[in-house]
Amino acid sequence: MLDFELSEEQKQLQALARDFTRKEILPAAQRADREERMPEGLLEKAFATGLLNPELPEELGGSGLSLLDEILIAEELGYGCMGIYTTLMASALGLTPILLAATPEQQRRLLAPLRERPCLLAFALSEANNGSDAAAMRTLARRDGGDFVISGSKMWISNGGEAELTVVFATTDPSQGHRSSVAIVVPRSAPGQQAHPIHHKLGQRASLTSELVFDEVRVPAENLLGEVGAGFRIAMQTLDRTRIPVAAASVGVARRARDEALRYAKERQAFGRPVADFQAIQFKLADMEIGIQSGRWLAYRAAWLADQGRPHSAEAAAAKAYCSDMAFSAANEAIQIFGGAGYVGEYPVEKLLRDVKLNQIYEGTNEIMRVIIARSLLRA
Amino acid sequence: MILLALDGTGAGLSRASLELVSLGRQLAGDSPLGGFLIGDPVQPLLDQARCAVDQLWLLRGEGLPSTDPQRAAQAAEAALQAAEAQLLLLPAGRLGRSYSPRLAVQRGWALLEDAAELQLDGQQLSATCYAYLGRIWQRRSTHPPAVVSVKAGSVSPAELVSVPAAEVRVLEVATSSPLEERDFVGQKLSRVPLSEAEVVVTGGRGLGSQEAFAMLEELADLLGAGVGATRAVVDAGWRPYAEQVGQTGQTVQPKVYLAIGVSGAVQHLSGMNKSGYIVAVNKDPEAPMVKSSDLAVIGDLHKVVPALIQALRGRRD
Amino acid sequence: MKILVAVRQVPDAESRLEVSEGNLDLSRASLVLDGMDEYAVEEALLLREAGLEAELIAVAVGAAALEETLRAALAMGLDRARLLVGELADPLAVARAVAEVARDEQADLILTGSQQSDWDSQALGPAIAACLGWPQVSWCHALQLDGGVLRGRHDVEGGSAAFEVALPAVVTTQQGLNEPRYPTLPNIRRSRSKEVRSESIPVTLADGWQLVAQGSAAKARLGQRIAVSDPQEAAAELLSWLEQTAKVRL
Ligand SMILES: Cc1cc2nc3c(=O)[nH]c(=O)nc-3n(C[C@H](O)[C@H](O)[C@H](O)COP(=O)(O)OP(=O)(O)OC[C@H]3O[C@@H](n4cnc5c(N)ncnc54)[C@H](O)[C@@H]3O)c2cc1C
Ligand SMILES: Cc1cc2nc3c(=O)[nH]c(=O)nc-3n(C[C@H](O)[C@H](O)[C@H](O)COP(=O)(O)OP(=O)(O)OC[C@H]3O[C@@H](n4cnc5c(N)ncnc54)[C@H](O)[C@@H]3O)c2cc1C
Repeated sequence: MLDFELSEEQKQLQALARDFTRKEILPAAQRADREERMPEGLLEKAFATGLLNPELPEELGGSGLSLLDEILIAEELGYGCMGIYTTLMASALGLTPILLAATPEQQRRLLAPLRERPCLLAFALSEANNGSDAAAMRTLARRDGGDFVISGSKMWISNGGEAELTVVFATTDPSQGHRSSVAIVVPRSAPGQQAHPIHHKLGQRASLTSELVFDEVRVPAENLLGEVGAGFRIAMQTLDRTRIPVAAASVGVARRARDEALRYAKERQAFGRPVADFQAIQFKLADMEIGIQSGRWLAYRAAWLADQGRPHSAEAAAAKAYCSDMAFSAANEAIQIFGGAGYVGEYPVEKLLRDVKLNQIYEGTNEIMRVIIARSLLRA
Repeated sequence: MILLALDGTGAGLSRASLELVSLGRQLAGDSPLGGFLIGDPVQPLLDQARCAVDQLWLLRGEGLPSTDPQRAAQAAEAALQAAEAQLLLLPAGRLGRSYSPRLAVQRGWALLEDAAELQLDGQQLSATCYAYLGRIWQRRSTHPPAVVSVKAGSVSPAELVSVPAAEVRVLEVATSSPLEERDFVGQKLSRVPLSEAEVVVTGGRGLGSQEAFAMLEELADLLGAGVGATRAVVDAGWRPYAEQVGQTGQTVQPKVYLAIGVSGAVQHLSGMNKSGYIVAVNKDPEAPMVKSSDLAVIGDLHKVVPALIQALRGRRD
Repeated sequence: MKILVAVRQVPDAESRLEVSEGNLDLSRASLVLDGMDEYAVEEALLLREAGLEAELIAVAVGAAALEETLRAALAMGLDRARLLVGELADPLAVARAVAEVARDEQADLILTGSQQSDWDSQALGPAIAACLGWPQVSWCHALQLDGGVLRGRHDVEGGSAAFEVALPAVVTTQQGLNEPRYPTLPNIRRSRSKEVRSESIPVTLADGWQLVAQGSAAKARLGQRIAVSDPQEAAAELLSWLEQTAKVRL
């Protein structure tokens, strides 16, 4: 049986996120992009509304959203500003490994602050010399009595330096590959950490991206997720889930591109009539719509599989690659429909393109998505 | 009989009352037209009212006139009984719209609110009303007996020429209300009342400060216009609530509406989108106000408004 | 003590409304809790947060789809809801139905928006009060409740006034009264288990008005533009437009 209807509660969630986007994100997005920071007070509002870390389970004082619930929010917030949403999304990215691999005791201890105040989390996997090939990481976690001592650096870390907790992926022995990988939760308070913000990004400038440097950072062994050797698997399981919100947020961006283009095309006159009268423009709009509809169902289905506890790695990869490519193309065509006006910052569409480019890169590039899909095809 | 709820000031009948009179005459045809005044009118008001209708009731009693809808409804009820009226027309102001539903419920009558283009065809009463924040017009019809609050400005005010002729009956009415009101604070009215101004100049948050309204007032003076404000501006405390135009403020319908630094939220539009011409001054070409305007000046209002003032002053000299 | 909050479901202020062949097409509009009623919901919550022991009940009259709007009020924090399903002709008929619920619940206070942005009516609050023989306080923008007595300020003809009235009463709400909260996500989750009691009511067309025709009120506008490069020139152009097109005497 198929049922494409959202539940009443899901519709409410969606309405809440849409409302939040309209009141808090849309009016603040341009400025956040220009000033390269999150709008003042936005995280506090997101927290008060329950939109920050909504995956936190109910028994820990959170809302315990399913992945399908979560991506309803992702689409709405992505519509408003992909950069702002990335700050929230990267926090979920940091939270997910803890939810997947931490013991109940670890969860209670580590996640207690999340119900009290607005906390961001981060996920530190990529390094300057290895992104796609994550298993080749160099950051070292040395066992020292009851502690791990971390040294090395992580590159491109969203929320890096601001996050209360960072899940750092490291190796206890670089010669052993992923068999010696570990995932360790590092609190911001642990001495020896430095964060260097990376400025002048092409897009998603509201979101903070940093290089993290660890100089003999000491954390208790109680902060290890799973066992030694499980780090790489935890990272991959995390990304299998979190790519789905990337897909849904991309659909949001595409929807925004469609709405902006549609509005402009109906108003802009050329040759004595609205440019929307030209079939060449209509087809661009129709293609955007095709992409939005198909992308959304890919994302919904991948999330549904994940919520059912079924394998979803290839589906998540397909949704992420398709939706971000689709949204990039929608933003690109929106600029085309705007003509010259699309190329300047006074209008919203050039930002969509700059922002959504990242969706094709982070949480695994779209080439890597295709590697995953092809691998699963060949294995079957 | 058709009965009118009249009111006025020391100088005479209010504009809204004069509008009711011309509408009442249209509907009544050759039949006599009734009216009532609540409280003790001063002579000029009484004289005008006696010119306006054929039968006039003066409703007197402790606590009258009152802004309390329970008292107003009781007083009007007494007049309706005395006049054996089938139709009551009242102005769609704050008081009229808050006590007319009480009357309608108590008497089991129909209610039409904020009605324009009222027509009475035998037993069929119909009117044009706006719905969905003024975005839709609706023709609504019902049967008398009915209470109808009449939209301001929907008919032209009557010109009173005849001599005071109406016979006057005084009705003592005892009204009571569990509601106690005190500390009345009157609205500070601009020199040109918004509802009567031919030109309205409204400033929005785009002005940036309370001080910037000085130049808006000067512009309004030069144009002989009333000054309006958006809710954003009223909320910020820059202008009094009496100047707010929109869903929760006043509805205006001037010949020309100048919206300066106003984005044009639907709640604002619903209060002014029936204006004859709309002119927007806004730096954002995508602002909804720009899209709903006849003429949009796209640019910085801090440059445009001083230039306008200068040009108008130049014409004066 | 029981507080009843009467809510309406209206098209979102931003949605574009279109009429075709006399029918209003709402299929593309998103239907939401009326903005004016949000102040009423919020005020009920604030009264309780100020220490009042009260049960807060949302009530709506109309189409079955109103359940969604009632859920939104529950998600903001009201306790339970009553839904009366029936196609009612006009605000007075709605008021009668709400008054029935108030009697049934033995409510002490009824809150609702000062204007309903579907029929652009201001009759609901006053008419409910009249049905019950209660006093009404319209256009309230400050409210307190002390030992069964409401005190606050509200807008009246020509200005505003302080008021005092003993319960039971109907209060209509508006901007300035409070800042309505978001239905937070945890509250949305919690509201799932709250009761919405739905019952159908007979249609009463007795004395209401009927809709005979409708259309879009949007006026066609000229859509002319002046892009400012030289403010003096733009000002001159604007003034001559006012004289020539709008026929304003300057
Ligand atoms: C703004 C921003 C935020 C980020 N946030 C985070 C974060 O919070 N946490 C985190 O851990 N990382 C984060 N990243 C890093 C991101 O995930 C990596 O940049 C990404 O995984 C690609 O890695 P790379 O940059 O090293 O590219 P490389 O791996 O060097 O790839 C270069 C090119 O080669 C292609 N390629 C590589 N291997 C293959 C292959 N096997 N087959 C085909 N093509 C291949 C890639 O697709 C790409 O086109 C962020 C990046 C950015 C830009
Ligand atoms: C239930 C409810 C009822 C409401 N009732 C009303 C009501 O009755 N009346 C009302 O007005 N609102 C009402 N609102 C509020 C409404 O939604 C808007 O928030 C409000 O109208 C915005 O006011 P604004 O246009 O002044 O401000 P903004 O929306 O902030 O717009 C400012 C505008 O100024 C322009 N601008 C800025 N700087 C310059 C410059 N230097 N030169 C030129 N242009 C510039 C900007 O481009 C922008 O378009 C209501 C809202 C609700 C929810």
